[in-house]
Amino acid sequence: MRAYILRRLAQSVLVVWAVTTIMFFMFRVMPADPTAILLERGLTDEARQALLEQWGLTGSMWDQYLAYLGNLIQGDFGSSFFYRKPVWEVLWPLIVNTLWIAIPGLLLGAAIGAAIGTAVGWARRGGKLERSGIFLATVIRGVPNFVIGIALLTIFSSTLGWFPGFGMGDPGATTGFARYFTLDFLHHLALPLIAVIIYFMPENLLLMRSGVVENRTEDYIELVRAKGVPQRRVAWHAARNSMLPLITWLFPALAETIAGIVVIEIVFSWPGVGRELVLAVTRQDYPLAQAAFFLLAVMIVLANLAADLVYGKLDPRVVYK
Amino acid sequence: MTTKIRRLAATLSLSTGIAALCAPAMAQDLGEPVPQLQIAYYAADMGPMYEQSARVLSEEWAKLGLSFQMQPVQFSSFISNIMVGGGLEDMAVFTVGADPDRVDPTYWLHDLGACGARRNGAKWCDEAYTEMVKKQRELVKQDERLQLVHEAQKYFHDVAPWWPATNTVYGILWNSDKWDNVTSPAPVAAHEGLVDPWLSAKPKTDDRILDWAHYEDVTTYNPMAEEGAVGWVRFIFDTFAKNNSKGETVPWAAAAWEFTDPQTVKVTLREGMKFHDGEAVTADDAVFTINTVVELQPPAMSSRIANLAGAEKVDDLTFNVKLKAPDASFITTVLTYLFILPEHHWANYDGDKVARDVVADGAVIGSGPFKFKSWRVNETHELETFAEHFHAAEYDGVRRLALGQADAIRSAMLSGTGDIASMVLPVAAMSDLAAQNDHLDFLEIPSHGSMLVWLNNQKAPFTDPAFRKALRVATAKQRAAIEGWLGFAVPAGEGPVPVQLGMWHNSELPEVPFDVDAARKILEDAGYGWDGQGRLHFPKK
Amino acid sequence: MTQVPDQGAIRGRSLFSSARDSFRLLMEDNFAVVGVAILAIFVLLAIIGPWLAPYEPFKAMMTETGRLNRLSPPNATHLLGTTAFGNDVLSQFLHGFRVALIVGLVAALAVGFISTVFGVLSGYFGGYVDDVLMRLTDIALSIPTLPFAIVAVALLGPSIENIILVITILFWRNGARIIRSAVLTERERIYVKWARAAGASHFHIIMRHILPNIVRIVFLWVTMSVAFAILTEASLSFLGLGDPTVVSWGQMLNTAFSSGNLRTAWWWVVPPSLALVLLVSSLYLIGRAYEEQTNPRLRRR
Repeated sequence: MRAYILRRLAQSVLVVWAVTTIMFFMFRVMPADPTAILLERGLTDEARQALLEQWGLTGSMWDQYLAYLGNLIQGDFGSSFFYRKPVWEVLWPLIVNTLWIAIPGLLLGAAIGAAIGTAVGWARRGGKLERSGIFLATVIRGVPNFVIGIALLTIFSSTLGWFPGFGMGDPGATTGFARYFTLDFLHHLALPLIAVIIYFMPENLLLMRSGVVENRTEDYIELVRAKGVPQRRVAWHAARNSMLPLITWLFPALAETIAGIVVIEIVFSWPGVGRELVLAVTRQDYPLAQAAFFLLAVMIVLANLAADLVYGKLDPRVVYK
Repeated sequence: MTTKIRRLAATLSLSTGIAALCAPAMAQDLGEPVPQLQIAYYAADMGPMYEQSARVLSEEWAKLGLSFQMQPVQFSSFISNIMVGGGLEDMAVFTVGADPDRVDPTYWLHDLGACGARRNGAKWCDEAYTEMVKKQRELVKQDERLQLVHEAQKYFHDVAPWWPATNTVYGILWNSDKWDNVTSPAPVAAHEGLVDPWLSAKPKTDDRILDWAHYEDVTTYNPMAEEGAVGWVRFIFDTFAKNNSKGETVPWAAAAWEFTDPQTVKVTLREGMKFHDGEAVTADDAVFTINTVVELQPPAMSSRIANLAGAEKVDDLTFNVKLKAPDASFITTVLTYLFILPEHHWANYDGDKVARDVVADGAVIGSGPFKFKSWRVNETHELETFAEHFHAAEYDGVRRLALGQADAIRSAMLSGTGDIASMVLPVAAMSDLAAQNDHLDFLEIPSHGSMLVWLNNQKAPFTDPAFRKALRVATAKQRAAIEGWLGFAVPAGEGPVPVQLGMWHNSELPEVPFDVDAARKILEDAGYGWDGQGRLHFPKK
Repeated sequence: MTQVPDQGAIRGRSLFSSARDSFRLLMEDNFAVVGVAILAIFVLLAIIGPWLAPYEPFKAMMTETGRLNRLSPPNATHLLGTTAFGNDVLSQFLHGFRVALIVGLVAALAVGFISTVFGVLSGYFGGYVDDVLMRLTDIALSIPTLPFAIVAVALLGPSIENIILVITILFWRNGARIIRSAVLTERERIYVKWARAAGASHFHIIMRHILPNIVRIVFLWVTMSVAFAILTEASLSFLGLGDPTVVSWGQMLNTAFSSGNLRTAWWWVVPPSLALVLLVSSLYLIGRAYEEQTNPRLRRR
C-alpha cells in the first residue's frame, strides 16, 4: 500500500512537470508581445529591452525555462506583467472566490443529482417517472453553461429583479474575510451557484440512476426485500452501493468543473481564477496565465490521485499493486 | 467560407458594372494583374467595429477591380509586428485611440509619418517632409509652429501615404436621477480621458459616491510603473497641467509656466497644496520626482520623458525643467503627464522604486483630488474625496467597478448600481439605453481618436501616388462610420491631423469626396486597365 | 463459455454487420429515435441552410431613411429581426448550422480515429506500448480542457481549422482510455484465444474480433465527441475566440454579449441558444442509448 502511494505520488509529480513544460513552451511561442501597449504609446528600444530583461524574457528559451522551473520549485510564480506584483498575491483571493461557487455547486449538484437519480433508478422500468427523468436529465446536460447563465440572468435578474445581475457584492459592501458571511454576498452568490448546480447535476443523476438500476436486481437487494424491509429502505441500500462510482467520479469532476466554471464566471462577472485566466491570456500576461493554469492542473492531478486512493479504501476488492 | 462567398459576389457585381462603364481594354495593352491585397485589421477581441469597417471599405475598393484577403490580427501582434515591426504586407485598417498627448500634432505628423519614426508602420519616408515635422517641434513660438504644421499637412495631403477614414465618437451614459452635472468637464478633466468621471458632478441623493461601471482592473497604483497615459492613478497624483475638453492646456498643480529659453521651462506651483498625509507640496517634491524619473528611466514612462534632462529648484514654489532639445510639445504632452511624488515617502526607499508595491507599503500618497481607499483585485477600486484639494469634488468618493463585460455594465446601469459608464458598452448601446430609460442620460463626445488606412509605401502598387490617390477617393468614410461604427464615428477630415485638434488642423486642404468612378478615372489616366473579368492590371511597362 | 470452438467464432464478424446491428438496436430506443430525428433535421439545414438564408450574413441592413436598421425585432422582412450591427439574424442563424456540424463531425471523426488506434494498440498489445500510451493519456488528462483550448486558440490564431485541431488534441485521451479498457475485456475472451490458436494474425483478430465487439463503444465515444466538439467551439466563440470569418452560434451570442444586448434582444439570443441545446441534447440522447447497449446490466430484462 505504501509503495503504491509513493509510486502514484511520483507519477503525479511527473505529470505536473510535463504539463508545466508544455504550457511554458506554448506561452513562449505565442506570437504576442507583452510590451505592445507600451509600444503603441511610443516605448523606446532601450526601455523595451530593460522591461523584457526585468520580466525574464531575454536569454535563450532553455535558460528561461530552467529559471522558471527553479523559481516554481521554490513556490515563486514570478510577477504579473499586468499587475506588476507577485502572481500569487493576485491569485489567492481569486481562488477563494472560485471555490465559493465550485465546491458548494459541486456538492449540491451531486447530492440533488444522486437523490433524483435514486428515485429515477428505483422507479418502474419504462414508467413515466423513469422516462421523463432520463429525458430531462439528458436534455439539461446538453445545455451549454453560458446558456444556463444567460437564461438565469434574463429571468431572475433582468426580468424579475430578484437577484443582482453581476459581481460578488454591492460596491461598498463589507470588505475582507467578513464579506463572505453577509446577506449581500449570499444574494450575489445565488445565481452563479445555481448555474453550477444545473450544469453539474444531470451527469450525477444519470450516473446514480445507472448504479441503482444495476444494483436493484442483485441478490442482496432481493434478500433485503425478502426480509420485508420497506421499499424506501431497500432503495437506500441500492443507492448506497451505487455511490462508490459516483464518489470516485466526483474528484476528477471537481477539477474539471473548476476549469469549466471559466465561462460561468465570465457571464456573471464573478472575480475568480477562470475569468482572470481568460483576461491574462488576452493581455499576454504569461506569468499570471501560467500560474492559473498550473494550479488548475495540480488540482486535477491531486483529484485523480485522491480518487484512486479513496476507491481503494471504499472498495475492498481493489488490490494495490 | 463566407469570405469566399463575398469575394464571389463582389466579382459578379463588378463585371456587370464594368461592362456598363467602359469596354474592357485589350489584354495586350495591360501589364501584370494587381495581385490580391491583404487587409490587416484588429481582430474581434477589440470589438466588432474593426472587422465591419474593413469589410465595408474593401467592398468599395473592390469596385476598382481589386480583390482582398481579410486578415484579423490581435492587437498586440498588430502593434509589435505591423506598427512598430515594419511588417505591413499591403494594407491595414485600424484605430489609434484618443490619448491625451495626441492633442499635439507631433504624434500625427512626426510619430506616424517621419522617416525612421518608430510607429511609422506605413513605411513612407520623405526627407523634406521629415525635416519639416522635426523642425515644427522645436519652434516654441506658437504662430511660427502653427504655420509649419499647416505646411507639413499640405505636403502630406498631396502625397497621400496614408489617410484617416473616421474619427471615433465616444459616449457617456449616466444616471440622471441621482447625479447632476456629471458630464461637465469644468474645471478640467481631473483624470486625463475624455469620457472618465469629472470632478464637477453633483449628487442629488444621499448616495454621494460616484460608481463608475468600468471594464477592467487598474494595473498598479505606482505611477512610475503605470502603463497607460490615461490612468485612474492621476486622480490620486496631481499633474502639473491638464488638457481640457477644448484641447487647451490649463493650469492644475502648476499655476504658470513659461519657456525662459527653448530648452528651459520655468514652472510655478500653485500655493497651499497638500499631500494626502497633510504635508505641504513644495518645489522640492516636484524636483525630486522629475530627477528620480530621469535617473530611473521607468520603461512605462520612456516615451514621455526621453527629452527630459532634469530639474532644479528656484524657490519653494518655483523650479526649472531642463530639456535635452527644444520641444514645443512639452507643454501639451509632458506637463499634463508628469506627477508629483511626496519626497518624504520616496527618498529613503531603498528598493527598486519603479517596482515598489505602494499599496502594500501604504504609500499611495499623492496630492490629487482623491485619496486611495481600497482595491479588490478585478472587482472594485475605491477612492475618497480629498477635501483639502483645490478642486475637491462635491461628492464623497469614486468607485471603479471592474465588471469585465458589456452586459454586466448594462445591468449595473439599469439597476442603479452604476452611476456612470463610458467604456466597453458600445456607444450605440449607451444611446439606446438612454432613449429607453428615464433615469439614464447620454452624451456624445467627439474625439481625435482615428481609424486610419495604412498602405505599404515600399511595395507596388502603393509606391505609385496615382494608385494611392485612387484608393483614397474610393474610401467610403461615410459607410464605415454608419455600418462599421453604428453611426458613432464621423467621416474624418483631410490630412493626417484630426479636425478635432482645432487650430492645428489645416482646414484649407482640398476635400476629397468619395467617388468610385473618379477613382477609376485616376487609375485609367495613370495607365491602369481592366481585363475581361474586371480585374485591375498594372500599366504596361 | 465451455463450447467447442466452431468455425464461425474464429472467423469473427465484419465491422459493417456489427455497426448495422448496433444501429438497429439503437432504433429500438424511443429517445434515440427522437435524437436521430432532430439530428437529421439539423443535417438537412446544414446542407441547405446557406441557400435558404435571405441575406448575406454580414450585410448591413439599412432603413429607408439611410440609417442602419439595428436591433429590429422580428418583422416581415427580417423574420428573426436584426442584430446590433444591422445584420439579419435569420441569415446568420442559418449559416450557423453548417459551421456547427462541420466542427462537430470533423473533430469527432478525428477524435474517434485517434482514440480507437491508441485504445486498441494499447489494450491489445499491452506491455511497453501500453505503458507509454497510458502515461501520455495521464498527462493529457491532467490538462484542464477549456483553459487549454483558450490558450491554444489564442496561440494558433482563431480559425475553424485550429479550433478543430485543439478539440481533437483535447478529447482523444478520454476515448483512448475507455476503448482500451473495452479492448482489455475483449482480448481475454475465449474465442480470441481460439482464433489465436487457429493461427489468425493480430490484424485479423483486431479487425474481426476486437473491433466489431467494441464498435458500440467507439460509436458512443464518437457521438459524445460530436457533442463535446460543438460545445467547445461554442464556448470558445462565446468567449470571443471564434473564427471571425464564419458565423457560428457561439459567435452570434458573443456579439450579443459584447455589445451588451444579451438580456434584451431575445430574437437574437434565443435561436442560437435553442439550436445549440437541441443539437447537443439530441446527440446525448443517442449517446445514452448506446450507453444502455454497451452496459448489458442496464438493459431491460
